[in-house]
Amino acid sequence: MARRRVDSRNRARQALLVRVVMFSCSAFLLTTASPALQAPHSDEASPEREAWYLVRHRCFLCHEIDRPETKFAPSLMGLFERGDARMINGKPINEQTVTEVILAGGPNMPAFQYTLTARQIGLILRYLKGGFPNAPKQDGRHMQEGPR
Amino acid sequence: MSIRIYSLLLVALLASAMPRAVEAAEPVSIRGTITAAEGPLEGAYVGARANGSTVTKYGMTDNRGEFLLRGLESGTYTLLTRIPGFRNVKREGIRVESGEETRADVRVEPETDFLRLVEQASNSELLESLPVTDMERVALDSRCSSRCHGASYFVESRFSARDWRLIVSKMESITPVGDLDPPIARPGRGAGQEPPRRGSSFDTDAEIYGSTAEGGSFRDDEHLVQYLSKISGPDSKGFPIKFQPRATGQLTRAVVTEYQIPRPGAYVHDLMLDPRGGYAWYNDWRVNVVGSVNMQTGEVKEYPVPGRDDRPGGFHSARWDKEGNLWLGQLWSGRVVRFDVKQGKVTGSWQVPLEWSRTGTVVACQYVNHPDGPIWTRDALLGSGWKLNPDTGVFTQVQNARWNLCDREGNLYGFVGRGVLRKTEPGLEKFTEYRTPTPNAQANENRLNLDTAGNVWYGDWDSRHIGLLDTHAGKITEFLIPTPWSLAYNAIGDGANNIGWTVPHHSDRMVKADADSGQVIEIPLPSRGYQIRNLGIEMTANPPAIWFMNQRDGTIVRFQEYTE
Repeated sequence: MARRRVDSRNRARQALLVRVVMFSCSAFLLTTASPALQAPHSDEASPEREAWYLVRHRCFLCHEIDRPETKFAPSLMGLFERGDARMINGKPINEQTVTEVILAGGPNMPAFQYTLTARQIGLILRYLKGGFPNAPKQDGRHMQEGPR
Repeated sequence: MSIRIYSLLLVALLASAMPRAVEAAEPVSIRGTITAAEGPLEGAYVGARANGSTVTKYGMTDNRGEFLLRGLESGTYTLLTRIPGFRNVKREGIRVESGEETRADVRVEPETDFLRLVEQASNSELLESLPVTDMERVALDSRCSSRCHGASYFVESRFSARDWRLIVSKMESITPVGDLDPPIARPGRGAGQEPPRRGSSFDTDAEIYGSTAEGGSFRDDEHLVQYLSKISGPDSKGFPIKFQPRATGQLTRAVVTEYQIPRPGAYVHDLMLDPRGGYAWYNDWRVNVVGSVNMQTGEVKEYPVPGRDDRPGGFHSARWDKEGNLWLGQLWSGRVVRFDVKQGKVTGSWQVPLEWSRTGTVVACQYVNHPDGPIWTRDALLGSGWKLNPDTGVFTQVQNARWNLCDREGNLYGFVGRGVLRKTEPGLEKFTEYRTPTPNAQANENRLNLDTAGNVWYGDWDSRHIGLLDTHAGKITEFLIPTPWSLAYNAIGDGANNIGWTVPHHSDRMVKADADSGQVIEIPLPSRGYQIRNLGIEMTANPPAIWFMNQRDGTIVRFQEYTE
């Protein structure tokens, strides 16, 4: 199903992967067209809503987002605010290394290289960095914090 | 308590023009045709939303491809098309003057992007289209689709078999809202036994789906991983999606109005029309919030409801009492909540006396002061039932309190097993059991509705029926819903015309069952992901309008037929 939009996604993903490989020496196998998750009515969804939806459906299953507890894997709360802390693979925590993990997965984490586009990973990172202050939290607690 | 008010002036401007009587009586605001390469399209949904508004009003094209959107207030509108198989069109800047007709013709092109086509498909259509065997389809529906996230999740994903294995193994021990299963043993499942699995209710045996002879294999996660890898492996290219035909003839005569809840991520569980009229009330499946939609203006108000900080938010049931309070089952917090809709505040909250309890069902009597009540609740995790005395806060355990509807005489109704609907009379000692024509029919918890004639309606999940208990004749009639994989969660009745209505969980179609003629028709809806839990019927509208929710989009929906 060769399509212009998917081709465009692939090019964007390939560019991202090239950057990742250059930085990390990790090897990822590129494949042919692979679709990615769409937010509902994506022709109308805002980036904020799409980011929340992506984190909800792609991260929250295993990671707490707004709480410090460990679910199946470490919490992502304040992931980018941990100073010199390192990830389980020993690498420092930054957008580059987190992107590498999202793409390649790990012993206890699926690889999203065939599922998420570079743009979608960018939305996830922005959400995790607090770049959507008005987006819902994953457990909805902020809904009780008053009018918005 | 703070009140969240979404004051949307343009909502009022548009919504004040929403149809409340015969649709055809209102003047045409926008008229146009929808054409594709093959010519005019019949049964194509076209919607209009005023700039800044949260209300979208949809109509369908007739056999000439012409649509009419009536009764719109003056303003600038965005026109939207929703036609499965064709690229969505969004045309902004359509100027409408009240009482005048604006022309807007649209040409649509075929959609070829697989992901966009998946978005346009109902869950029923996706399941029918999966490139797997029938038994694999059953397995995927039972384990991965029917009760939780739908087929789109795995259809839109691409993972290796190793990664699918990781995902399946984790899915087995989380709740539908992504929380870990509680650390307690469940009936029939002691230490060391395998954890409960999604899609299996709370009964391990229910995992043997499909035929008895073949069912055993589907208990094996490895089979599931194989099926998922076949559909959505790294190299999968998608598959043709078999869309149902668009509506034709009289089936195109429907107006659908969607009221967007402004809160991002809103996920409605129960919708309850206020018995005094004027408001559609709702609760949220994932957040401790109750809200209302003004049925005239479309204004949405939301009210936070305190819950346990150490549990996820969200509700699972709602019932009215005789005083007009809304009683809510705050599922994950394990609380029974009384909400005064007139004051817009919580007037009582009671913690069920069982740690990890989930208040799946709360029952109140809307028409009588029940001598054995007034409130009952059933736990959705372990199955225990209690009576609550709100004055003392005392819960008293009740055995077999499997009712979830109270009629005008105080009779309590509920399924006590597959195919057995029981009426329990006041005093709780005398009961009558009615057998469903379909042996395995069963309504979902808390999912029966009473019509104005005193009859009971329900949705049969597994066997896809609208069910009607004629309480006067003491007989159940069931009406088969045509679309495969429909999964009817609930149904509601028009007691004046003896008609049952539902929007099945996964077909995204309105189903209308005429109990007098036995005729069942289906009318497509414009959006996807309704997944309704409850419906309301606006009997003061002509013809009666049906209210429900769209979970995926966070909207409250009004549906009304019309004739011309």
